[in-house]
Amino acid sequence: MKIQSCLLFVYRLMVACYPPSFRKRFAPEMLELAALAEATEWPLIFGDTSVAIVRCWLQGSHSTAALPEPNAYVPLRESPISAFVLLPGLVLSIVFIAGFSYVNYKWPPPCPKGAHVVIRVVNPSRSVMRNGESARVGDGSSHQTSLLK
Amino acid sequence: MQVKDNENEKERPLSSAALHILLALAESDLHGYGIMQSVKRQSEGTFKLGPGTLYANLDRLLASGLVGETERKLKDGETRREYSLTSTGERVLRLEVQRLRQVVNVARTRLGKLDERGA
Repeated sequence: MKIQSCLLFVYRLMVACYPPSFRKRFAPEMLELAALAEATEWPLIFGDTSVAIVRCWLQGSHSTAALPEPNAYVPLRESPISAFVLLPGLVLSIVFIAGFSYVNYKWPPPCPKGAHVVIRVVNPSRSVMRNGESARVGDGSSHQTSLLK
Repeated sequence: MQVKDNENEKERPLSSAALHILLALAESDLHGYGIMQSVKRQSEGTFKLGPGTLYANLDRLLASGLVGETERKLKDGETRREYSLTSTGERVLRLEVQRLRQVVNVARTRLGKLDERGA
């Protein structure tokens, strides 16, 4: 339940990133819909909404002024896609990519202090293991095996 | 009206999400969650529609007049927005289905020829 409310809080922040006209019209419904989502649906919801926000900034919301034609050639000077509209989309893209990269880098979390991974290679046919000593294999390649007490 | 019809012609071919939304609304008027559930059901779980895609498409379909919206009062006094298929939306959906049928017919013919060659 607590996780669900945390996810909803994050989703609310994401929805706040939509253009104002779109947010005003659809945000309550989107939040209502997210509240009904099951735990397994959250990755889809976050992924889908991240892409949709960027697309919405780039293409513009139809809730206010619509573009002249979808996919139409628009002369540069008359283009409704201004730098002012592109910039938030660019910033959002960078924020999302950096966020995902950071989470990916940090996950799984590092080992706690004191925990060490010990890899011991044992080849009983070649190595002679003595208690508390290091053994040398005489076939050219030397392997040092530390024995743990 | 003619101008608007011409504008709607440009909507074709519909995206998969838009096609699924229009198909869901062809059954009955639905709210957002209802559309998601209906799409899940009609595609047998193969097409998953997230809220971002759903509302971006609804925004576009509302602007182009293929979908209409009404506010419906519930018993507890709350209002719920429901979406419906307009007559223009129905016409566009029929045209899209006809186009897909042609694609299927061509595919069936060509795949049949491939089967004959293989036999």
